[in-house]
Amino acid sequence: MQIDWSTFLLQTVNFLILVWILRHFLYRPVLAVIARRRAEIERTLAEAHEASDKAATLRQEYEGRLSKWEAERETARASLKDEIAAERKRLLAQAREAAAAEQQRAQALEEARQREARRRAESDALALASDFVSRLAGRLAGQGLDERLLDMLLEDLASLPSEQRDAIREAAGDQPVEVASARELPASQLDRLRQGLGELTRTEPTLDTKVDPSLLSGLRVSVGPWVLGANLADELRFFRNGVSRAG
Amino acid sequence: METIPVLFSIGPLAVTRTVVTTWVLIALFGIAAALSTRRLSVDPGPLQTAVEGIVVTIDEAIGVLLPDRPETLLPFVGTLWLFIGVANLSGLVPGVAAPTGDLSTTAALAVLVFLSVHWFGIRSSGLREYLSHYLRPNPVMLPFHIVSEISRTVALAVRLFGNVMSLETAALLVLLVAGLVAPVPVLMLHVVEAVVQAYIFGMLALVYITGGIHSQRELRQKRSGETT
Repeated sequence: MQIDWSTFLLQTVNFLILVWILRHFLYRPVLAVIARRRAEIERTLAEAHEASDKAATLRQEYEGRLSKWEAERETARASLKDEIAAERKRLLAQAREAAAAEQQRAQALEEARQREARRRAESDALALASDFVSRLAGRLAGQGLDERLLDMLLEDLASLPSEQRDAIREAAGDQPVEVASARELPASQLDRLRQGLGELTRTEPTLDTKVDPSLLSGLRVSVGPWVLGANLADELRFFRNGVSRAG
Repeated sequence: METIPVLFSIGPLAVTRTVVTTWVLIALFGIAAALSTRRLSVDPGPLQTAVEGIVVTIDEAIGVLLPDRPETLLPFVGTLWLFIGVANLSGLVPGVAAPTGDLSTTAALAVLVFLSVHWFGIRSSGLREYLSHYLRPNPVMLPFHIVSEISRTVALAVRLFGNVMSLETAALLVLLVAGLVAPVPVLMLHVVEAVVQAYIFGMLALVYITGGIHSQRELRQKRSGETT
């Protein structure tokens, strides 16, 4: 165990050279890259913190916006609910009105239908009654009834108002008076009729007679546009028409 | 005692096998350092991760004792650890004698540690301030301080030399006695011992240096406390 001073000196120098080599080729570059990495990590961390803060801010904004939207949505929903209720109420009222109108229309139609049915029934009854009376009167008709109807005509002519008498007189002129009768009138009845008409027209009328069995009984006198009826057919028709109009 | 043969001479300096082995190790260190740090990247690969792991481990070990500026001591203490560790392990290579098995090498390293303690102490607090601590707490303590410095330096050199040399000798004796049966456990023991000795040497150097720096700092802090 002894120290060789040459070796001692050389090893001292050697170690210092090694320190220099490792310092320049190992420690410095490695520490530099570590420092660079740390700086990079710190920069990334700073960016991450910044991004995190930004994200937190955005999240707060988003949550605020979300709550605002929620409130607006609730308000809109309430408003829509009110509108729907009002619209429902309006539609219900409209439907009720439509139903009432429809009911009234149906009621009116039913009433009209009933009126029409009644009118038809009455008309049918009248027609039936008229036929019955016509058939009955036709069987009862005869000279006596013809005579009586002539009397009734003459009485009516005598009781006509002066205006009508004047109008008939003007219409008669020189034209012949048409006389339709259910049966051939006997000469006496023709004379009476001619006399009655002469008093009405204040002339000597010419009678143009003809037989019309449809009159059933009595006669019909035509003076120009005037028709003076005293027969069963016209009376029955007047009766039927008059009842129909009255109904 | 066996003397290490001189291979050749450079002027007055005799170059022994220890020196040549050290040169080879320096060359290997240089090549390895240059290759491993050639393409350093922020995103490291496996090799760079391993290299960074070694450097960071050393840096953090220094940082435990000198937290404010560990990079100041990193080149010296780190090189001590790496060189002594590899030099110790080089004895495992057949035909190679560990440079740390030579007292001249360990003495050189111990003297460098001795000088570095004063160098970093003076850099930290100035020459006058640094030297004055040998007179504290009383000038009577000066001889004791000097003896302490010398003895710990000698102890540093002898401990490393003694351990490495004795380990190599023991391994040689075991090999001679037990043949090829025992070498594996002995080699494992050699590896552990080599690493442990490197660690102890480097750690002691670190403790001495940081002790010198801290004692001056504490003194300054005490003085500033008294003046305020």
